[in-house]
Amino acid sequence: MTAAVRAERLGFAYGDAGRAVFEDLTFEIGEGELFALIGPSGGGKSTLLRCMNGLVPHFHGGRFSGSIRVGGIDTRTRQPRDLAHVAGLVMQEPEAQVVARTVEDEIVFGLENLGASRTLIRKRLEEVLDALNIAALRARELRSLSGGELQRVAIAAVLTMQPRVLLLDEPTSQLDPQAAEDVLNAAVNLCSDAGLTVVIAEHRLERLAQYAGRVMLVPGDGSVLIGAARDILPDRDEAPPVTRIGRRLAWSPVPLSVGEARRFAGARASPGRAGWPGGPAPALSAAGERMVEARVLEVFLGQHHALRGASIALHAGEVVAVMGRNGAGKTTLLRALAGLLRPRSGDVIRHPGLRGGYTDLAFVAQDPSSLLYRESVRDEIADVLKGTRRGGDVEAVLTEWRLAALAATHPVDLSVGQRQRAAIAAMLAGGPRVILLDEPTRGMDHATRELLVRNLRARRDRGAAVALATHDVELAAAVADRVVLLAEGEIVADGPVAEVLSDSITFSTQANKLFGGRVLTVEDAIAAASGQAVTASTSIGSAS
Amino acid sequence: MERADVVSTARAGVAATPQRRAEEEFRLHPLVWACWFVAALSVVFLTSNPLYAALVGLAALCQYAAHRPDDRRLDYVLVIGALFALATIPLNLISGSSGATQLVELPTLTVPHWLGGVRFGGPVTAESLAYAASQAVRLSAVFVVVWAFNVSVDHFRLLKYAPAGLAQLGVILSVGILLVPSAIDSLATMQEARITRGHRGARPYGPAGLTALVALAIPLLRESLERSVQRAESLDARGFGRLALVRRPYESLIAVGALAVAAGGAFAYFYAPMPGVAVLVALAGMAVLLIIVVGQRRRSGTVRLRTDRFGRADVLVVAACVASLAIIAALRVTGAGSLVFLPFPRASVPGFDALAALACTLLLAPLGPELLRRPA
Repeated sequence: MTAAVRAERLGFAYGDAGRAVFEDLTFEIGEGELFALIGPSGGGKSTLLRCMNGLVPHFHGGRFSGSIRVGGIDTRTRQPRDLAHVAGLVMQEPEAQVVARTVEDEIVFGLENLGASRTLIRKRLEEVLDALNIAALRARELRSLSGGELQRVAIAAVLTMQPRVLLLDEPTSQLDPQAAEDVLNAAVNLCSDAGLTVVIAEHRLERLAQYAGRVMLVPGDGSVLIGAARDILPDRDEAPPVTRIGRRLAWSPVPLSVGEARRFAGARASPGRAGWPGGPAPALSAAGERMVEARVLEVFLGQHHALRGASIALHAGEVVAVMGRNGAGKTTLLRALAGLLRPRSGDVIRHPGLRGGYTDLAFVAQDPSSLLYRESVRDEIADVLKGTRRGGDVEAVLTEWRLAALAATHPVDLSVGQRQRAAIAAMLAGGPRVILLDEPTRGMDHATRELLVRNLRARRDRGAAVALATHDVELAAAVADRVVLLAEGEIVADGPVAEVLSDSITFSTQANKLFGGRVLTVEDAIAAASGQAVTASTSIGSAS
Repeated sequence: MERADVVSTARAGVAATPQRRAEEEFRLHPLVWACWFVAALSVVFLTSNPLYAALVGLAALCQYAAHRPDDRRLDYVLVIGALFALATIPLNLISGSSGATQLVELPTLTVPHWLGGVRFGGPVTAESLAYAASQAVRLSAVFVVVWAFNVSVDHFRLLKYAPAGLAQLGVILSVGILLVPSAIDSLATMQEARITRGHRGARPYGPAGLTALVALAIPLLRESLERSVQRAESLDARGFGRLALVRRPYESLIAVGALAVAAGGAFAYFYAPMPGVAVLVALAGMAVLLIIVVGQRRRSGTVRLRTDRFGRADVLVVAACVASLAIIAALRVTGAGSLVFLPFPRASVPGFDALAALACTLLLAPLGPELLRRPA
């Protein structure tokens, strides 16, 4: 069998004097393989994907050595556009990828460039609309889509081309659990049925782990580690919760999916199951004062009825996760709470003790790139401290978020995950009392995510009111006290995290799928397995 | 049995898209928008009367506002357009004045004779002020027309009607054009970031103030550049420019040149001292364009996914645009309708003619289908 991708002594550094992203890299990816790239933000995953479709070195200048052949073609000999039928890249930020105005035109753009026949274009369009469940969006304009919807369209636009090698750069970072499942299923089907090779760079491994044949770990020091998912993942911190549970409980072989783990859980962890449906959820700890409250908000964005009578209160000393499908109104709700949009009716009330403006309230928007506009990370933090008059020490913030090494870097030169961290660090500098975060873990690696969880918990314990819109169920389970579930602009559930996130099909954690009841996190699962009482909302979310 | 299944699936396929049909029902054909654009621009060029220019600008603004209610970019567009137009007034004034009513006397700066001997400054007259103001009104009308066209038309659909060679060039242009609204979107996002960073002079909802524009100008420029690099990267990665046609870039360049020559000739007809020559130039440009278009169509490889339907609303809008342009052109040729506004030697109130005003108002036609679309 021929190799779909073959790198020989591949090396690359941005600029002539830049640090090498990787050096002397030799590997092969087989035809029809599903290959995962993992590793920290800024490690070089995106760069490696760009090597595979020729954007490196043709588009990004730098020191390129060795060679990489994709579908038998040496990338040095062809322009990226002449590789488009061989290697299709879905970029990390869908905003940067889309070129057309409407969804349909965007999806067929690539096929038109390849000169495909009209019949083929029509057929592929319908197929991909169904596969990614976006038929309802087909006539919409791209700029009216929510972040997750846009991401699905961007993926569809490349899937239609059915290149021999599909390169996906964090394709599910903004997707709700169901949409993420759809995207992965589409990729897996193309892999197994059409024989496509799929290379995915991803931080969220909960679903991917079971499908990935082999994994390449790109730690960012120039070296890489390649091996079977089953050999590499069990020892990694970013492994899916179910794998971490398996490792802690010494299950063998260590499971990569809930399905694999089921037999161990059934045999070992009956206490959790027996307790189903888990009895009453632990009551919320005595919540503090209401810091911000929205009362019966009705919001229209253009013709779109984004919020329908939504009411929510944020209390001091609690973390609220706002969850729901892509386009359900999560962002709109946070923006309304932040006072950034005018509701058609309803009120947003602030606690009288809060100082005006944004001195005591911080809002971190979804797209980190447009949040940063100064010359360096240090400047960004100083700018926020100055503007909000919160008072605080720039260096302390840099240390707090492990940004000291990047302090002088221009935001443009950061990776997407690093930008996200810098944006959060800057906007939360100086200890605001109300914190609103929109999709904070987008593009974030495991270590940073852990840092964020610890940081938010510490701020909560000091009395901050935190609300975060997220699709990341595991994050919500690890950090939130309360979950608000939105659907079509209405609040459909509002309760303790253990109640909302348990016994759900899409919005439940791996540990919960395995043990049921009120078990949410790895720690809960360990406790359940050892027969201890489960106190879901107070355990630490991270393992090891 | 099997056959029945196929039929029902096909039906389901049709029934699955009622929303799209409803949306497309009242969406104007891209060529109709092009027609409106050409008509509106031509009308503004054909008249120097600020009243008519203002009417055209208002018509464009109305249909834009109806097309995009709640568009937060509208504020920015108005502010930028007004600033742009106002800035031209002093420029016009210092580049020399004539007329009878002197207002102030500015110090004079005369360029040496061997450099053309142009004089700056000198007396500022009421007449030249009136003229500069009327030019500013025309300029802002053009600005609004261009903007309204840009947000209303679907460039990608429109380009499918352009000859293949031009279309490839056009995609690049339209991606570039789309960067302008997206830059204004990022300006709004940055402004929001500024607000949440608690900066003075930043207030929610409204357009950015001058301080914000100054503070964000450089970051915005950088962001736009970054964005265009990313778009270029994406175009490349998605196989744009593979078809053999673009491998003859000179053809596209000649075509664009020919188009420009033809348009230039057409307008020169009204301004140039030798209208006959202008007509010849315009015809020559069109002929070259036609040769290229016919040649390219023969080896065209572009695929059009969906043919836009030319409905009754489209016919009506085109008719209105043609009528509008025809009336104005006829008035211009006959010299009637006070199309020309020249406040020299003595300032005057621009004339007003009902027929010319009616012609300008006809440019509101795209509003019709837009209003029908929303029964409420």
